[in-house]
Amino acid sequence: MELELPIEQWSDSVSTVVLGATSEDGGTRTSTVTLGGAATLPFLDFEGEAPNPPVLAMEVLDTEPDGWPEPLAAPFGDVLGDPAAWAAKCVEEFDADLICLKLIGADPLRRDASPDECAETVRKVLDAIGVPLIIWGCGDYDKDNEVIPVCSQVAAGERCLLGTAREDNYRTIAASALADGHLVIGESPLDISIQKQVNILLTEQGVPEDRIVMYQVTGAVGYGVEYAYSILERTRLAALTGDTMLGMPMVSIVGSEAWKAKEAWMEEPAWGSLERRGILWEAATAELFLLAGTDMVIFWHPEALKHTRWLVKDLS
Amino acid sequence: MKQVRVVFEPDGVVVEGQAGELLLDLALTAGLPLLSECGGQGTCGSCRVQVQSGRVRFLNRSGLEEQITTPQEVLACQTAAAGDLVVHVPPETRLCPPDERITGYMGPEAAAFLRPGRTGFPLGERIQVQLSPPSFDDPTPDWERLLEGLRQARYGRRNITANLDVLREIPPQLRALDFSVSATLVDEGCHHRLIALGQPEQEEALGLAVDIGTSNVKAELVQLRTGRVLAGASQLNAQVRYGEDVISRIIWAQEHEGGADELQDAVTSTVNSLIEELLQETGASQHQIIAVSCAGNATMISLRLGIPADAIRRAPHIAPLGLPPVISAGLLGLQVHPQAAVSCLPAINGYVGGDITGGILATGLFEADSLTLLIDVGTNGEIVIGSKDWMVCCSCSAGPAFEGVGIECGLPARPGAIESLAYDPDQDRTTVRTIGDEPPVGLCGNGLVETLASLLDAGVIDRAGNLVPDFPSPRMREANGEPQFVLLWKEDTATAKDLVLRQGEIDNLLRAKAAVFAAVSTLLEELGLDIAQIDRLYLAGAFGSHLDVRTAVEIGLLPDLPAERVTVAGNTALVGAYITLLSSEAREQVSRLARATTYVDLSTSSHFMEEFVAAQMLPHTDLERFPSIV
Repeated sequence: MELELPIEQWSDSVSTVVLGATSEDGGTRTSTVTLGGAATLPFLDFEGEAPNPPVLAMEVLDTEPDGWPEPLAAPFGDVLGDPAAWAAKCVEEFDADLICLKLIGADPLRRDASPDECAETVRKVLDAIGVPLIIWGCGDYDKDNEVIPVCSQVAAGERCLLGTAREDNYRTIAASALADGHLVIGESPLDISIQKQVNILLTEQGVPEDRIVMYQVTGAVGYGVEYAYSILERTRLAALTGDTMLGMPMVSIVGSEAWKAKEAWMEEPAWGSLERRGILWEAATAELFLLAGTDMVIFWHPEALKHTRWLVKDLS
Repeated sequence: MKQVRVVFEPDGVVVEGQAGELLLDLALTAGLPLLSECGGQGTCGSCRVQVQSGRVRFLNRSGLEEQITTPQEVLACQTAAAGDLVVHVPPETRLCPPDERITGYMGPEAAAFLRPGRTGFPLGERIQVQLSPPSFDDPTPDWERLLEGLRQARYGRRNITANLDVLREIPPQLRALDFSVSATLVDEGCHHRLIALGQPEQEEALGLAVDIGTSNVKAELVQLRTGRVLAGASQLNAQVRYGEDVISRIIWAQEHEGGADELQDAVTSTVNSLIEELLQETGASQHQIIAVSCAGNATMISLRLGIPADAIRRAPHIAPLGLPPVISAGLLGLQVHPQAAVSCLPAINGYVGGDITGGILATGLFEADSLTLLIDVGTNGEIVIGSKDWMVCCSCSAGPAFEGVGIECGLPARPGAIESLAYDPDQDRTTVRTIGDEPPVGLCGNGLVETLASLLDAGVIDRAGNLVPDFPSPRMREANGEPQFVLLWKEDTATAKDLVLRQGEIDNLLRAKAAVFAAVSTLLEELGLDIAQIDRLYLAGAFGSHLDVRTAVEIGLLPDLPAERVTVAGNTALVGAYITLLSSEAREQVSRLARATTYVDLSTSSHFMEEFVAAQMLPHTDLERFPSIV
């Protein structure tokens, strides 16, 4: 007897978002990245189309990281103090689809870097790479509201992804994105309703649905990640069942989240090789989020990205 | 039997009845109880109404039918409908004058308890007894003689008791008054207690209906013989300074030595100050008040009685008592007759108190044929869903924002409170309507609802309630690092200060409305019901009857139901206290319905928190739930 697979019929799909603008579209990128578009749950291609495979990005910091464990810092050699070189290495050597530049140096509690200084870093990174760029603020509301508009301007026309817009602080970033032809990341504290609220607020300010990417602050494996999984999965299910305000693609951060876990970096012989542990912790977190429905993952360690690339290929 | 349709003006209430029904009864069915001092004998003239048109039959004119063409004054107890009618009820004939700022809606099921013959016994009453003097042939002792007189006059086989100090007065009083006395008795449930003996034709016995709210205390002074409301008053609960909500007050009482006493004193002083205000207004004396009926949540009642309420704040949130026995007023420091009976409406649970059982009673939910929803928005929000067959309730912490507490420009509904507000962004102008058309002092619950809707409509706030910083008006400004919006410039207010709404206050209002909406949605979900199945919604609590239901739906305070299914019911807790003050049948009914209502604890529901977050938008994150607005 032949077994008939039950096929779920979905009424809608994740919206499609294109990052980066080539010269044809008024930018200087050499390639673009397309997110979303899936009309099925992750990797269930027998149920529906998933035209764009998950996108794997790498994170670059504008400030040399201190205290990175050796296994994490080693692959980068001497580029960690030079964002442009770091970004170029990620693309050329480590096969990153795009770069996420985090402007942590702008944080008043760190270097309190000026908006112009941040914009200069953005310019340099853009010049060093041909792939699209994510420009991510430092997380301090007031400072980001000063920094992002200036950075947005120097990158005008490049169709960058600006982050992050939050429920009570989204206007400045949305206005910059609209003015300079960028896209916006809507952030939520692991809450499906707040995510939807951010998206509603952004669209009501005029940001089109195909210029919004959703970001839930998740954590990593071992730290309550089951809840994150269910939130991402429910978001994808909402998109597939016609909730357009939850229909945008999702981005997840695994690098900085996984390496926060002590299991990733603590010397403990019983836990196995320190060389591999952090990488596996990061890759396992990425795998989990991809299975839950995220469309783009941002890595720290190139090996974790490599593992994930292999996994995606294997599952697709 | 012929069907008739009677319109009662000026309320415009329409009621269907049968030809032959008395206007007095039809008015009750309409939820408009009339004065009827003689109990429908046609002798006192207190139930006078004006028939404006239609066909009636006069009982006292040999049953003749008459077509009324020019308005005619009639006695409602002696006039039956013979066809469709329009009847005008003058304010002096009404049992409860419609002072909506204090009291609320009374459904026909509730008004029925006031029908002569159905009240049973008021909580307290004064009756005249004429005893035959003792003789050698009738050597019955004085107390038994008095008991016999009372039983024959009114109490039948019911138990009657008395305190020692009253027993001591009996022999001299009976003789001094020649065995013709007035006796004052209170109903303690299992028996009646004689609390005073005096001259016949003593002054009127009065009762007090009180709603002890977490934020506001409201009271009505009532003539017990007739049920007539003589005056009403409202004051801020003096306990507010110990914490805005019940939990913080319980904690305060625990953490401070003598804290519980201090809280008890605070609410006692509030009630006493209300009593003083009412007595002053009516010229009555405190000894006339012989019965007090209190509605309030379990914490308020416990603190009022000085009973430790700590268990309410700890899971599983147990109230010290559901239905307190009748207590003597003197023990509670109330400035009324020292032996007046104090009765409380029963609580269902630690978080659903006598204010809600009062609401179930007042709205008639307990006898509803179809699914009915009662939402009481106070500092706590309580929800009841049900009908005559079953009732389920829950509570949520809404915060006192809509009661005007914690909002600088907020105030209870009183003259000068803004009931209606519209901001016009093109003219940069605000138009307001205040209670009593007095210069604006601040915003009451209705005004806050309309303000939110108007600011959203004008683009002053976004759907998440954030003030839009670049909104082009000098009214948008910042103070102490917090954005605020000037609703009225100081030239236009009675306080000579700018009337502003701050970001934090808007957030509080959003949280309050979200908690209420989330509680309704969660309870519906737990019951497997859809909001569309709700046939009638009563919104009780902080809102006056002029509240525009559509506006309340627009901001997502109320679920999206057609306006004709919604009744803004006002302070139904006080109505419950009023009815139970006057009727032992109502007191029995309310204690039955308290036991019959099932409590659902939302703190164990995983769904509530999610609903709460989703409801923190105007009107809601999921617009699909508001089809009439999209």
